[in-house]
Amino acid sequence: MIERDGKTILLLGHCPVEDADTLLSFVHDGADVIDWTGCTLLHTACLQVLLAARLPVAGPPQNPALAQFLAPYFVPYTATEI
Amino acid sequence: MNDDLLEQFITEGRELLAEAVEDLLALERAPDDKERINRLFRSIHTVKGSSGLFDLPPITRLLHAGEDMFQAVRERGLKLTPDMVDASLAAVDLVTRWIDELERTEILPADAGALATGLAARLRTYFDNPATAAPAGIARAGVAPSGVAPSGAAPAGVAAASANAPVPSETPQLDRWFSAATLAQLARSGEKFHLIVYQPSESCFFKGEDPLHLALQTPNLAALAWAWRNPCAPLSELDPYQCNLDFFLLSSATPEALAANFRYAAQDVTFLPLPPGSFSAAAPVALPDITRDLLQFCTDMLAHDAPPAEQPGRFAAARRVAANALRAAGLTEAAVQLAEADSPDTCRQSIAVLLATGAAARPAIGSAAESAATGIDTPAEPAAEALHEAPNVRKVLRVDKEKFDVLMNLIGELVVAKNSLPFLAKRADEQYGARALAREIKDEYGVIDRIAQELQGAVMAVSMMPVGQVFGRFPRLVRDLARKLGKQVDLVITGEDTEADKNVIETLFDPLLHMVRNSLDHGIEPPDERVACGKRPSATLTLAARQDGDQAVIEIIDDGRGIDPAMIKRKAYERGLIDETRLATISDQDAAMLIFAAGFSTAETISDVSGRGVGMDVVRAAVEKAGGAITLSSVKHQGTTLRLSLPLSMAVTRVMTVLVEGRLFGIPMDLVLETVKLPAHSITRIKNAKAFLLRDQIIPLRHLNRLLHLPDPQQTPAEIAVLVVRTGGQLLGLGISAFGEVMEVILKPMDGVLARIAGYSGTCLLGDGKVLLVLDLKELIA
Repeated sequence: MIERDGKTILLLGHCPVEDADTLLSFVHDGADVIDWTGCTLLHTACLQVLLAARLPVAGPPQNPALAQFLAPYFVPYTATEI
Repeated sequence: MNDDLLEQFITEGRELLAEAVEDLLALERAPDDKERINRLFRSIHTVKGSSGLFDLPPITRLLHAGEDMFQAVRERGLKLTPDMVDASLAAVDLVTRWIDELERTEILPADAGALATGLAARLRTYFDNPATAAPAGIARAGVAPSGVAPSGAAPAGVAAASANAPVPSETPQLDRWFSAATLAQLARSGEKFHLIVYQPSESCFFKGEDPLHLALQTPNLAALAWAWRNPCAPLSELDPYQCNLDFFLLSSATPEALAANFRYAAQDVTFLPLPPGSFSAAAPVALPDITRDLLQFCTDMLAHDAPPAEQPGRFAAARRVAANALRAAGLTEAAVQLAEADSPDTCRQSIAVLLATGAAARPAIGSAAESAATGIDTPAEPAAEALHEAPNVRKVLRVDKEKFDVLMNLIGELVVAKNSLPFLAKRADEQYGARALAREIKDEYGVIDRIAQELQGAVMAVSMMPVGQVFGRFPRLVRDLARKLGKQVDLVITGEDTEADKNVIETLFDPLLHMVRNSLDHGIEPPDERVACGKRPSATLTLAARQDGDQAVIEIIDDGRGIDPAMIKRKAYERGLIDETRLATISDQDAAMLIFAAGFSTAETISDVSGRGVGMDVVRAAVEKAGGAITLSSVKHQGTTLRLSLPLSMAVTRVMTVLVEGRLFGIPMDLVLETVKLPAHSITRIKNAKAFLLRDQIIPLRHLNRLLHLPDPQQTPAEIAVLVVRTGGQLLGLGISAFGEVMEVILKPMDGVLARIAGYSGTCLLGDGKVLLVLDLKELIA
């Protein structure tokens, strides 16, 4: 599920293929940070949008595999910037 | 076991082994052909490598022995003897057979292990002490027989250039995707890894696939990297539902476990076994352009002649520059190695190897992937544009045979419809007196006729294929047979580009095989007999194809002992094929044709090659069935020529139209020998049969109207038209009312209720809309 909280996009729980559109529109509308701490499953379509968006990502995600193998590819978000 | 993976192994294995046979045969003639031996080595190596993905130790073991042997031939100048070729062919055949077996049952025969061990041992007797002499690349592959280095990627020339030089990197450029830290960590683990290149199809999301999920499920996943397949579109144009990501995974799981994980995406995945040590060896191949230029400059400097006094200085300078260039590029290991070079030559060799492997570095993953035989067809280079489309692939369209037949039929109808225009022009002129209009119709007809003919030609061309497809199988057969029979034969193939209808070509192989066998067995003499006759010990057998009008002509020419007509006559008489009168009167030319009679064999002894008395009659039957004809000419002691003429296409039939009691019929043109007009009194009656004399030959006469149960003519004409035809090897005169014209038609067989009516081979439409019945004379006369 994808939600938006001001300039933050939240990835929550399972983000299936349909969420890619929402994610893309949120990114398109302007966002500062993507927060995937609540993310358990991320579909490849959503991953594509994340990779293309090049936004800082706040983590680590709940899914350890995502944290281990994908987190290194994102710019980590540091809390002090808020 | 993964079905798709195995299927690919089977298909690719077959192709590569077929190439290997071709190369072996070529090498036997020209043992110094470097390109061939390299290709041969690569084919065998690749099949061996791919076989390691499955549990097929006999194949891996046998091919490994073959590979070692070719390695010895390639690098140590071992001479390839006919015995070695025999053994290699036997090995390739065996593996081919096992692959067939795998396709059927998915397991190897029970005796495979023993056979492989035996044959491998035989292969190994041809080269001494492979363990010490084999270069590092092979020794390494030997350590891990089931997970084999994809060294098909390394250019063979490099390995051949210097066996002592550093071993060229055989691994894909892992550092392109994975960080040095990750690779170093994996190298420390000491485990054996597979690189998995996963390139999901663009539309995979619509099939419910989630490549990321699948990638993360990989057993023992050690590292994951991704790359855009095509440059990433700006956000505003991004289509999130088109998969544009490739994944690169490293895992220490077994090939079986990996195959199981990717079983539903097998076509998108390539597994590459990484030999131990890949991670450290991966670095030296990435040469920046500037380094490459500097290295090139150094070799040029060393290559130029210089006064002896200057040589040491040049060498030292070149060595230093090259080493520094390498160090600057971060290739410390290579730099140290180069700095230790103790002569200009070793220095140059090392640089050459670096340059060559550097060149190989970019496509490394692509060609390595090909050698692993498991899926992708283009190099996976991140950020490169649209590499997913292989530009040089020849596009082939597979069409359902039925659709093609519909097209053929429509063309046929168009040709027929077009033929009605001249009738119309004639009517415009004669019936309505509009001569100008008639001329205009004729002009238009000319245009439509041309287009229709071109269209017909184009569609015919679709179903044509080169004769070479059949000829290609003969070099091996001829070689094997010749060796078996103890004869020396040079096979010459010409005109393999000649094209003919696919159906015709496919029926051609067996007849050709019979004829080639006969030539080898009966026609060509053993070398000593040839020498005694003053011929070269090695015979020439020519397979020649050419196009002759609307016929494809194939000749099988040997320069052997030829056919002795006297001997043929005697044999035919002994076998009761001809009677005494015929024995006395038969011409030499006709006698030679007797070899096509059923039950004829001239061989004194029956060999396992030919000579059982079946064959040539079968050949003739097969050729005639394809609408062709076969002739033979032979000169004693000089050789025999067999000539097959086949219709280029079975789609168009030439028929002669004849008029019988006011009705039009068609007779296939290939049966018609000549047309004559006979005065009624020249017809003689022999009891209740009629016959006539034509050039001193008595030819029986039948009236076509009687055969067709049509009424007799009201009054007996003073002159009757007779068509002389040949059916069933006999001449026959057919009495008709009048001759028509010869035309090309598209013959449609009788179907439905009409199919049961005997005597007709089919129907076709005439230009004026009438239906022409084409007669089947054989049935009609029987």
